Amino acid sequence: MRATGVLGAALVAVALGASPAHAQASDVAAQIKLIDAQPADMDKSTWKDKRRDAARKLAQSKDKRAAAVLIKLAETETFDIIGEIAIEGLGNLGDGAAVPALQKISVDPARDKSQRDLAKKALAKLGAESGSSAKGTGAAGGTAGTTGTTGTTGTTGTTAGTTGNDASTNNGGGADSKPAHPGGATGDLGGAGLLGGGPSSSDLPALPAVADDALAAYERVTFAGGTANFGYDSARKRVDFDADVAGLYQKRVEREAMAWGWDAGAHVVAGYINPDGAGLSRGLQLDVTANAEARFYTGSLYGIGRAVGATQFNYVSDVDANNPGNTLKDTRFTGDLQVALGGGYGRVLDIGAAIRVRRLARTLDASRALGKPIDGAISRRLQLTWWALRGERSTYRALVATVAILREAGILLGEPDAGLSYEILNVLRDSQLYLRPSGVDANLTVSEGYLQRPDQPAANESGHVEQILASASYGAQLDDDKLELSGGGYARLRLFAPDNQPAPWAAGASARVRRFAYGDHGDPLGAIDLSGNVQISNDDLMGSQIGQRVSGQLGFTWWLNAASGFRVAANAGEDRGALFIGAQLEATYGLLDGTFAR
Amino acid sequence: MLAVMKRCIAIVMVAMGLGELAACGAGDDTTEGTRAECAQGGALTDCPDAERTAQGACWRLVDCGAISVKSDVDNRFTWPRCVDTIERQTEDRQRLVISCIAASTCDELRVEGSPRNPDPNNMRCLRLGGL
Repeated sequence: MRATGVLGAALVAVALGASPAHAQASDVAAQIKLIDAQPADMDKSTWKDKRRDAARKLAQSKDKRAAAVLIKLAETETFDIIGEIAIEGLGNLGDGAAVPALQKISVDPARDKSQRDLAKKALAKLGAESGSSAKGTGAAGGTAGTTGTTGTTGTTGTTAGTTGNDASTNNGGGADSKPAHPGGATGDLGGAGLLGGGPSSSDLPALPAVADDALAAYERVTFAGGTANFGYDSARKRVDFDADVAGLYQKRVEREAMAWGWDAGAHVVAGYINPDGAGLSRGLQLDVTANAEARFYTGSLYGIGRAVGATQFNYVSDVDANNPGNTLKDTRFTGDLQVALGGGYGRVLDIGAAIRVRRLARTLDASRALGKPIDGAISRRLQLTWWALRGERSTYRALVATVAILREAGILLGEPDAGLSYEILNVLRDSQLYLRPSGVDANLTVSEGYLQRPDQPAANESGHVEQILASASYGAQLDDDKLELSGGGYARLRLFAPDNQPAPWAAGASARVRRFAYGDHGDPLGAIDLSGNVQISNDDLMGSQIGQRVSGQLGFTWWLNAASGFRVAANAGEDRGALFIGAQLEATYGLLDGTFAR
Repeated sequence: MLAVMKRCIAIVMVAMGLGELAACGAGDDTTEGTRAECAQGGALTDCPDAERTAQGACWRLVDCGAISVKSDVDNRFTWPRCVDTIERQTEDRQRLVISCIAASTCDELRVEGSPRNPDPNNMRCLRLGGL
């Protein structure tokens, strides 16, 4: 009985021992198969991920069949991190057959320095020397101007070991660091990589000064050329001119304890109409406005102060020599100077740039290139870099700088390949990320001001004007920032109006929903928007009616390809019983020109 | 007042459902329209930019209390006449008038008789376009 028991135990032991070996053998075959070909039922990004795992397992398998596969990966996969996994794995595998390939990689100037270093480490593990041609080639990549800070980075979320990428590598852009072939473009930013030729991470633009504790800030310069037209024809001997030009500067900083902002703008409309006949009209209208606001916070509650100044100058001359009774020459000037004080709760921030960072992280993650999350410091650096480069005509510098920052921080694993570079570019160019509100804000203020108005006709508001003003706004970005809810409200009532002037009031609220859509590679595909508006008012004039208006719009914009798209929109409005319904359809369809020239 | 508003809203709902024009002026011959936030209150109150179309410009005139939405009285310069007047003009005149209305403050757009019975000859933006 005892012998039987011993035999049974031995069989179990043999079985237990043999099963892993058999399983391992079959696993190696399966892993090689997975590396060689994408399964039909697996999408590309999943396959890339599984393939990297398979390469790691092969490196640990000690199976002879693994060497050939890993050598091939090490030699050919210069864009994907699987190449580095293979190089490192060959050192662990302990197969001398890998030495020639590793020696070649260790001195290949087209390779990223991190790959060359990995190859040298692997060769050391195998007890072999590095490639002899390293002198004057591999090191030369950095000789012409190695820049950047050294930072050992690149511990991948899925890699067992630390890849040890040196963020300063290949920043120099040495003359002989160019890749031997396009596919081998693995150099870093300033060097010979896919994005080569741009600045290194230490050559980034000077960042705008934003306080360390700033929650948000913006600076906007808008020059709206509008329209400017000039025409003359000798047949009619007629000159026509009209121009509508506006410029606006806005700056705002939101900090924990306070927020302040100001803006100033000017708007000019000018025209000269000289039709056939004796009539001639010409005019100039000039508006200048300045607005400043400061808030002081205690928690979410704040005190607010606003000051506004505005002037408008108008000159109109409409002269008809044949009809002197219908001649107008008028020059008018208005001026407003107002202050408001009050209190409120909360704040609404424009988080478009922060969403861009989040999209960037999601893009890298989907490509399995996100080494670690983008923290607050890097997010700030990215956003301020984009801010600094906002005047660039091209997105090239922004792309190069973004990759440099991400690489240096160890967030971007490896040099981005063409596909990932395109997706990053799409994020940087995404125009759907402007003016994306987030938060809740409500305030109530009382204002005092002086309004300068012409005597004729008698203005409804002139001289000292006091009023109570309320405003509220809301914004939320949901569903991976692809769904936006926003809204706002206002109310105003004039106080202490003199007997000869009315005390009008008005209130309103609006709400909007926007759903943004993107393609597989981050191309903006379009958006659906739905908005509604309710207003109520009373002019407080003799016989005035209380007005109430309800309006709404539903719009759908879809970009079919680079040259095609359509927008359909329907709107409806009702104002004291008068109903207005409208619909718009704009569509273009075509393909970008297919051209060839020899 | 609230009861009147509720009645108006009810009529509005019916009107929207039937797609017809309806009035709730309780015998009034003119629908003045509703004012926007910036209609009064000086530069402290703000409005979104007006759409650069004839209809958009005329809506701004309604928003500012310069003209009415509609009137049963003939020859009143109301929203429909405003749109027709601008759209009849040559393109350069349209551009100039629309730009002028969009850039003007509400106080500058109102004239004697606004909003019920304004004289378009006194509207400087229309005169600027030679209308």
